[in-house]
Amino acid sequence: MIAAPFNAGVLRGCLAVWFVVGAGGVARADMEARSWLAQMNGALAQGSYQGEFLHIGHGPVERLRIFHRVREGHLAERLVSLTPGGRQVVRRDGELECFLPDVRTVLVQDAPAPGSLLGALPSFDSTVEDHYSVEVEGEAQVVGRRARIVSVMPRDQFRFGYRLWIDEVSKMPLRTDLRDEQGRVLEQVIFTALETGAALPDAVFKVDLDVSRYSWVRQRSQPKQAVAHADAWDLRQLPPGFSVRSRAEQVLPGRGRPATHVVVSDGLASVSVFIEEPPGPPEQPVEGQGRLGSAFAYSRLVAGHTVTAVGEVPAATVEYIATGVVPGDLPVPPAGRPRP
Amino acid sequence: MSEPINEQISALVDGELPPEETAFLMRRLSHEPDLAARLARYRLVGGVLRGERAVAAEDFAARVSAAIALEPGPTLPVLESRREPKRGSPLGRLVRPLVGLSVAASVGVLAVMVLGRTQGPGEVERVAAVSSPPAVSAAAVSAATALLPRSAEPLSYVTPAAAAARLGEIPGATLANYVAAHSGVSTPLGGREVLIHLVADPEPRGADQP
Repeated sequence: MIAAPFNAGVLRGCLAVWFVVGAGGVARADMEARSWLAQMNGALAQGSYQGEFLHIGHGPVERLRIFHRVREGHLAERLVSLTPGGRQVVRRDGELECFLPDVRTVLVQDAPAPGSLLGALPSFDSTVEDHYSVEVEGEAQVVGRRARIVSVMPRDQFRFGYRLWIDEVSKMPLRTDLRDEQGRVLEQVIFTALETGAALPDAVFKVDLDVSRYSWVRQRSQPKQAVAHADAWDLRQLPPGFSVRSRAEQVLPGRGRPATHVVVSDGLASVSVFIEEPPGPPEQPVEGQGRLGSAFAYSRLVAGHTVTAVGEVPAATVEYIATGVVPGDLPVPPAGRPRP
Repeated sequence: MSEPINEQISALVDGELPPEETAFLMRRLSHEPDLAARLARYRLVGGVLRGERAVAAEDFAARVSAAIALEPGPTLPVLESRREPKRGSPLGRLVRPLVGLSVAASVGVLAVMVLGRTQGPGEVERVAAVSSPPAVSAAAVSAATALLPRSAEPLSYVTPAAAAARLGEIPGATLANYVAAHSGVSTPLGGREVLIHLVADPEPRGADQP
């Protein structure tokens, strides 16, 4: 069940907005902006919609189609590349299936058992403004709809920001610009067609491929459970505003050995830290950097373990967090200043 | 090229074109490379007018053209399930080694992605040419375009700089697993971004590439 945590997050956001208004500590404009963001999060996670959009970023300009439905608390989502032979991803609650027509293969990540990690979904509250400047910039027409432009600018280099064109009716982000701390655009997602509130049938979540001769590669994850091992590591370097939201043990797909998964967040951005035992031959321990779109990763070896931080934050942030992970029994070093 | 088309392209770039006009324009763009190039220049000029450093538009024009080359009908396109991957195609280059890794070594569920190397502090920063309101006039486009450098440097969006010197690269299969696992605990907006990148096909660069 994915619905409940999102609901709780939105509710917490709304309550926070109400509290701030009561205290009179924040300008009305800021409160309005946060309200729009909370409603947008709710629409993205809880709404039913289908549409097409352009994704413009580092790689080729991509056209994609999305189907998203939440019915009786169950999530169904299908994301389709409109490039011929392109990939499709189908997500049902926690299960993820990736269809690769070129090689007639389906890769499957099983749904995790309900566990503590779901509680890590960032909540949107007034503390977000300690690290982001949030404001309503104005109104505009996007694909024929009235939209409110909401700017979320990071106050430092540890996080990305957004400029969002939020549909006044559906609260969906019709256009999303991912920006760095200087306001420069990293990526854009622009809907060219969007229908909300439709009763999407099960059929739209089935891939339109003949998969009878596809190979299915499935890895079953162990249920995520909070265990003692998850507390065996300390995160001693977190950027301002980030805090540990959850710890759990899980087996990553294809890895075959348990990893400690720690989630940290500042309320808008989140970072996962994975701590794994060293792989056996022929695998080699990983130490380095990686990037997948706007998600950055940094791996290093610590006390014979691979520590990897990954999240939709700048490269410097995942590196900073990863370099602060130490076994829990090590002495605490003198506190240092964050390096932006 | 007529003025209404210029205005339509400008509106498309700004995400302000009505759906029916968007469909019409996309159809025209799929048949008229010059028009697609004009779209790319509009995006570039938007960046120039905001003071961002401009880079060559040719590559981006090609990317836009490729992206819009296949205008979908009202239903999802039927994908060829038995089509062999094109030799040297990005998807083929990306998927072949990863799937081999997954199937043969039982490693790499969702091993479909790429990683790009992040920039070191000494590298030249590549700057986006992304337009944003207000739309620019055709005259401004012509004037600004004339000032653009014609280098072979590919147009790119801003890449956040890494804080430290580059080490190695995390293999793409491993990275994809981490990112997929992270997507379940991300924000609605961040989770959507992650899934988009699992489906989209960025230029493959990384340790998994042949």
